[in-house]
Amino acid sequence: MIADTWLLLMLRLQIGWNNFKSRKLLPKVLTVIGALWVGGVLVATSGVIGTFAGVLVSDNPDQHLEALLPGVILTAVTLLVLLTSFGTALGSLFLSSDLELLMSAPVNRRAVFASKLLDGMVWNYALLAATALPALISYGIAAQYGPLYYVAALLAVTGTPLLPVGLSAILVMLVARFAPARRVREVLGLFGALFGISCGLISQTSRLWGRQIFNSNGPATLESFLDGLRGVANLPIPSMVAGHGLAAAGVGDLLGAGAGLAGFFVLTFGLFGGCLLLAENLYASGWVRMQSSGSAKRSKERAVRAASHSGLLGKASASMAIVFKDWRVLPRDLRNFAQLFAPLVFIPIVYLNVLGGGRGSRNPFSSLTEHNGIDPTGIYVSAGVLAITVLFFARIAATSISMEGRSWWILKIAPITGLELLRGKLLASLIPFMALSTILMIAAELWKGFNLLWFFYGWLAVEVLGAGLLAIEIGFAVPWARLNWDDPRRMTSGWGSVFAWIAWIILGLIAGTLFLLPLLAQLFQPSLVAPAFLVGALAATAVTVGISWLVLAFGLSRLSSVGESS
Amino acid sequence: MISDNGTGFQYSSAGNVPAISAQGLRKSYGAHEAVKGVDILIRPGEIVGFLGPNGAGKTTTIKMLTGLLKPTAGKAAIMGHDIEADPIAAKAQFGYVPDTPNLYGKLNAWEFLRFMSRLYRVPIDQAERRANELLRIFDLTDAATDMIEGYSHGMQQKMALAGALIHNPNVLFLDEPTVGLDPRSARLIKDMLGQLRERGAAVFFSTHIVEIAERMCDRVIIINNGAIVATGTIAELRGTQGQSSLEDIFLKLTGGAEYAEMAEVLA
Repeated sequence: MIADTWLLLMLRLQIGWNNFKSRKLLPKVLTVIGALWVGGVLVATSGVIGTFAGVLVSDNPDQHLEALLPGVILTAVTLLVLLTSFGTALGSLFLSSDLELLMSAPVNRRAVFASKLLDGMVWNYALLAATALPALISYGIAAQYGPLYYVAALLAVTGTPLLPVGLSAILVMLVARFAPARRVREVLGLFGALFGISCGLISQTSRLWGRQIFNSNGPATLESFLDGLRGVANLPIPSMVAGHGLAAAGVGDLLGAGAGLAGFFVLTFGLFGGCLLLAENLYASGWVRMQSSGSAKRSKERAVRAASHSGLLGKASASMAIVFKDWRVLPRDLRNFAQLFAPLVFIPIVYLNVLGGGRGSRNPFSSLTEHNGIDPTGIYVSAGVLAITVLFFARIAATSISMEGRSWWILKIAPITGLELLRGKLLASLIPFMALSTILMIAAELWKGFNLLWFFYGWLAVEVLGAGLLAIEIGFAVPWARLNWDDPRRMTSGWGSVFAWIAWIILGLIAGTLFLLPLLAQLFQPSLVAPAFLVGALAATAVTVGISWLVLAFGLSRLSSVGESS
Repeated sequence: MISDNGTGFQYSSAGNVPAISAQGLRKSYGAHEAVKGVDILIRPGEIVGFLGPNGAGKTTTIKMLTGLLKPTAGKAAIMGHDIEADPIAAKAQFGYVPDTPNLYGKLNAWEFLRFMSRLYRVPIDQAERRANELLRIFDLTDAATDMIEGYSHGMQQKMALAGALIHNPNVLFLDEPTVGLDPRSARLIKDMLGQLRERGAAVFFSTHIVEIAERMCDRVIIINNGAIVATGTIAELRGTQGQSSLEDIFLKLTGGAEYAEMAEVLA
C-alpha cells in the first residue's frame, strides 16, 4: 500500500510540475515572485507573533504560559490546514476526473484514497513552513530555549497536517451526503472570500477597535483572554499535547518532551487512520452522493409558471438580453459572485482616510478650503461614493468577456454586432453602478444636507466618471479575455488590469480636475463660479466620452479574435 | 429573391444559392496546416456527412464555416452571405451544435431558450411557442426549470440542439451530434434532420461513425489530414472506389488499413 500511495503521490507532483512548466515565462516568473512575496509576509508575521509570545512568557513567569503558547500556535495552524484541506479533499474526491480510472486500476484502493487525501500535502507543508515554523522558532529564541526545543518543534510541525487532512475527509463526506459537490465548492469559495474580506476589514479597522479594547479595561481583558486559553490547554487535542512536549523540551526535560511528542504522534496517527478508514468506507459503500452537481426538485407549478412568464429576458433587445443573462448567471455562481465583495475591504480606507472618520486624518484640500470658508465634505463624499461603487462594479466589467468562459461560442456565432455585445456588457455593470451610486448620493444628501446645486453637480461627476471608468474596464477586458478558467480568480489578466489602471489614472486626473473647476473658481475667482459649473461639466464629460470611446474601440477591434486560441 | 423567415433577418432563398459554400478554406497554426484548402458546396435540402478520422480537420473546418475561427485563407458563405464580410446576415441563417455542449450552466432551459431567441431576434410570441415545442420534442419539459449544469451530457446535447433550432435556421451545423446520446435521442435527431431536409434546410454534420453517415446522409465528404479526399453520394463513392461498404471506402481513403493490421496484432 505504501508503495502504491507513493507512486500516486509522485504522479500528482509530476502533473503539478508539468502544469507549471507548460506556462509561459512571464506567468512563471510572476508566480514565483507572488509566492515569495506571500511567503515572506507570512514568515514575517508569524515571526513577530512568535517573538511576541516568547517575550510574553519570559516577562510573565508567574502566568505559566510555557505549555500554552506553543500549543495555541500549533492549534491555530491545524485549523488553517483544516480549511485548505477541505477544499483539496472536495476537489480530489468529487470533482476530479481520474478517481474512477485509479479505483478500477490494479492498485490498492486504500492507497488511491490516501493519495487523494494527501494530494495537497506539499502545500500544507509549505503553509506550515511559512507560519508554524517561523512562529515556533522565534518563540524559542525569545524564550531563550535550548536546541532540544527546536528538534521537538520540527517533529511536531511534521506531524501536524495529518489530523486536519483526515478530519477534512470526514467533513467532505458529511457535506457531500447532503449537497452536490460543485455547489459545496461554490459555497466554500464564497466563505473563503468573505473570510478574506473580514480579515482585511479587521486589520483595516484595528486602530479603532484595538484602542477601544485595550484602553477601556486592558489588563482585565488580557487576563480573561489568557484564562480562556488555559482552559483549552488541558484538552486532549494533539496540538495541545504537543505544546506540553515543546514546553518540556524548552527547559531540557527530555523525558517530558518525549512523553508529550509520543502522545501527540499516537493521537495524530490514530485519529488520521480512523478518519481515513471511515471516510473510505463511507465513500466505497455509496453512503455519499456520487454526483458532482445536483438535480433540483422538479415542480410542476414552477414549470408552468416559467412557461407562462417570459419575463424581461424574453422581451429584451439583444443587448439587454445579454444584460439580463449576466444578471442571472452572476449571483448564481457563488464563487464568481464572491469576487465582487473583495473591494469592500477598501471601505474602511475610504471612511478613515477620505471621509475623515479616523482620528487625525486630514483631507488633502482641508487647509486650502478651510481658509476660504468652503466646506469640502461634498467632494469627499462624491469621491468616496465613486471609489466604492466603481471598485465594486469594475470586477463585473473587467470579467465581462471572460465570464462567458467556454460558452463564448454562443455569442460568437450569434447574429449580433460587436457593438451590441459590448453595449450589453457595459450596461450589465453600468446600470447597477448608477442605481447604487445614486442611492448613496441621495443618502449622503439627506444626511449632510448639501447645497442642491453642488449635490447635482457631484452626482453628475460620479455618474460620468463612473461610466467612463467602467467603459475602460470593458474595453480592456476584450483583448486579454481568459475563457478557459475553472477558478473565477483566474478570469482576469494582469496586463488587462495594468492598462485599465493606467487609463483610469489618466481619465481620473484630467476629467476629475475639470470637474473641480467650480471649486477652483470659488477659491480664486468667485465671479466665475456659474460658468465654471457649465464648462467643468461639459469639458469633463467630453474628455470622459473621448477616452472611453478610444478604449472601447480598441476592445471592439479585438473582439473577433477572442477565443481563437482557446 | 429576398424574404423574411419571421426572425427580423432577411435572407436569400433563391433555389440556386448554395446553403454552404467554401473555397480554398485553409487554417494554419504556425507551421502546422490543420486544413489545407478545402472546397465545399452544399445545396438547400441536403444532408451531408463530414467524415474523417480523429484530428483530420473536421471541427476546424466547421468552426471556420460558422465564423468561430478566422480562416488563414479562403472564403466561406452561408446562403450566399460571406461569413467574414457579412457575418450578421450569414450567422442569422444557421444554427450550430458543437461537439461539447458548453452552455450557460447557471441558466435553466427556459432562460437559455429565451436568451437564444433574443440573440436571433425571434418575435416574442413565436419564440415562446417554439421554445415550448422544442422542450416537448426533446423531452425536457419536466427539467425546464432546472439549471442546465445539472443536466446529463445527453440532455445538454439536446438543449444545445433546441437552442440551435429556436430561430428555424436554413442551415444546421452539427459537430459529432450523436456522441453521448442514448439510442432514443439519436433516433430523434435522425428524424429531426429528415424533417429539416423536407422543409428545405441544409444539414452539415461531422462524424467519425461511418454507419451514422451511411444511414442519414444524402452525400458524404471525407477529409483526411486537412484535405478532402472524396465527395459524393454513397453510390457514387462505391462506383469510384470499387469497395462494397462505406466503411471500406473510408478505411481505404484514410489509411485505415494500418489500423486493421494493428487490430490483428492486438487480437
